[in-house]
Amino acid sequence: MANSKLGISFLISGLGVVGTGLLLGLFYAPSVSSEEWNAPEAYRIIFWHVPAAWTSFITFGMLFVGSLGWMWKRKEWAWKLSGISAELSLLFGLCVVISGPIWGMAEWGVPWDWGDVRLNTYAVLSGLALYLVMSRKSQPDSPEFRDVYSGIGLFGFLLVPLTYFATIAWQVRHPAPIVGPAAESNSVDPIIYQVWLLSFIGFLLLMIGQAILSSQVYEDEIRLEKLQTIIDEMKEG
Amino acid sequence: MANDIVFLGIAYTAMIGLIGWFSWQLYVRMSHVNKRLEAVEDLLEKK
Repeated sequence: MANSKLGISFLISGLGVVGTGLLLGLFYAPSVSSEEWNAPEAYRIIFWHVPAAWTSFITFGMLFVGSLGWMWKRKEWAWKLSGISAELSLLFGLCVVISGPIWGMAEWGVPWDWGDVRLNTYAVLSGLALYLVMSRKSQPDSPEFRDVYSGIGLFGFLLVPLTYFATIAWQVRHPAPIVGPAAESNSVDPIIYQVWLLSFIGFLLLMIGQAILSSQVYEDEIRLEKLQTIIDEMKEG
Repeated sequence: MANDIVFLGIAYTAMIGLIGWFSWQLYVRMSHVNKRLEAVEDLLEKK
């Protein structure tokens, strides 16, 4: 119960911070030139699109740790972590995959460019998260299933650096990286950068809250299963 | 310009909807498991 309260606190704080980030992005962040951009208002989609993508890279990192932990050490915490992080990767991945094409439609006139590697690798990454979530819900829990699941989770993480560097090696439409080793310095207005950071903190808090609550639900489900086994044994005995 | 703002509205509505739906599903799942746990614990206490 204490964990649930902590999770809800993180979740509500996260919603408050991302909400503030959204308002700042809509009403405080600078406008862009309508001569340089086709969709000078739709550009404000980036105030959640970019931080959601950063958060998804963290959740894919958690999926990697969970998958590796299961494959290497066969630890139950790792199996739980991989399940929670796959769900969170799907959530933040969908936020990115849905908002990106909407901006693309406004700015480029097309929602998707199949020739842009960054778009395609990220779509595969999100599709992989969807597959992991669906398979976990539909397949019986067995050591073989856990191995396959974790193998796919490990493979998925390889797509994270590939997605990051894709815009350097094969840039077609998607803008180049704005943070990390491949980023150009001073490529972003400081106010835009500050709003991104605020929204990123909000998404992190939200993600931590959801992870704590999901973890509690997993533990309760395992406990419930054990108690039901005891009841079944009592009935048979 | 108006079209531009419609795209902005659709994008944020979709993202808010996704986050809200996911959080709501988590809450429903948590409530459902808690109720079942309480019922099973009550049953075990009676036995």
